[in-house]
Amino acid sequence: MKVLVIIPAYNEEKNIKNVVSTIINLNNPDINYIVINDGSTDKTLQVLIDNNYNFINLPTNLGIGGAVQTGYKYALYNNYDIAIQFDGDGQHNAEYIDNLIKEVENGNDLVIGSRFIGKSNGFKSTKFRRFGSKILSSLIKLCTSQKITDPTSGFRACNKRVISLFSDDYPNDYPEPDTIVKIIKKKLKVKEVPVIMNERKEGKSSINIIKSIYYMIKVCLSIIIASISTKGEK
Amino acid sequence: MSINLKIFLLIVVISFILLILHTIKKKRLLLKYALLWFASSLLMIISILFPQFLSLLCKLLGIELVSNLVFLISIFILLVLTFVLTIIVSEQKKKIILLIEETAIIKKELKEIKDAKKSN
Repeated sequence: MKVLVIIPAYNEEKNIKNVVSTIINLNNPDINYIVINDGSTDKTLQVLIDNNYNFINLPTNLGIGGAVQTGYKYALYNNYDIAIQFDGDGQHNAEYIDNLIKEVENGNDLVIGSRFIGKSNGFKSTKFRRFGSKILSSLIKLCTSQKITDPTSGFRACNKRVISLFSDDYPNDYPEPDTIVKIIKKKLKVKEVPVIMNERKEGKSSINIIKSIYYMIKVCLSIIIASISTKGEK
Repeated sequence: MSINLKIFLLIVVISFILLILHTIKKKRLLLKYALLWFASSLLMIISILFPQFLSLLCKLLGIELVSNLVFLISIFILLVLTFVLTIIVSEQKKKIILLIEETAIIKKELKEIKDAKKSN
C-alpha cells in the first residue's frame, strides 16, 4: 500500500522542519509525504527548498481546503492507495499514522484521529472549542445518525475512493465537518481512532473568538446543506 | 409625462443600449451577461413610451404612486443583478482555485523532469 502524508503549511517556518522530520523518521518505505506550501508569507518556502523536502508551492494563499485538495490531487495523479492529512503546525503525532493506516486497510473509507475517545490525556484544546466540537458532533449525529466525537480533527486518513472524491470536490474553508457528512451520506464507512494531539509549539492558531462564532454558523450551515444535497445520491 | 422628459429619457436609454453593444463589440462584456441589461433597457423603453402600462400595474398591485412602482421594479432588478453577480464570482473563485492547484502540481512535476534531466 502506497501511502501519502499530506502536510498543508501556511506560515510554519518554525514548525515545518520538525513535522517533516517526524514523518521521515518513521523510516517506512511505503510512506511518502508532500508538503503543500499555501502561499506562506514567511520563510516556509525557503526552509522547504534548503532541506530539499518534497513540496508543492501554491502561488497564492488558497486556504486550508485548497491546500489539502492539492495534496489529494497529487495523491490521485501519483496513484497512492492511502492519503493522510497531517497538520504542518506540529499538533499531530506521527506515531498514530500506523493506526490510521490499519483502519483504512480494514475496509474503512475515512478514518479520523479523535482527541475525545480512548485514554484521556494530551492536549484537548480549550473549553470553548470543545463546546464547539460538541455542538458540531450533535449536529452531525442528527443529520447522519453516526457519532463523530472530533469532527474538526485535521488528522485523517482515507482510501482511493475518497481521494478521488476529495480531488473532485473539497470545500474551501473549514472543510472537515462538511466532508465527513458528505462521505457518510455517500454510504461510505467513517471510523474514529483515538489519538493524542500536542499543543501548537510556535505561532498562533488561525481561529479567534469572534471568528469562531462566524466559523460555527458557517460550518453548521454547511453540514445542513451537505446533508440535504447528498441525500439520495449514490 | 411631458414630451421633453420622454425624449430626454429615450435618449438616455438608447445611449445606454449603444454602450452595451459597444462593450460587447470590444469583447469587454460577454453576450450572456448582457442579456439582463438588454431586458432592463427594454423595460425602460416600454415604461417611457407607454406610461399608462405603469399606472395599470399600480392599480393592480394597489400602489398609489407610480414612482414607488418604478423604485420597486428598479430595486428588484438590481437585486437580481447582484445575485447573479455573486453567482458568477463564486463560479470564478472555484475555477481559479482549481487552476492554481493544477498549475502548482504541474510546476512541481516540471521541476522533477528538469532535475532528472540535469542529473543525467
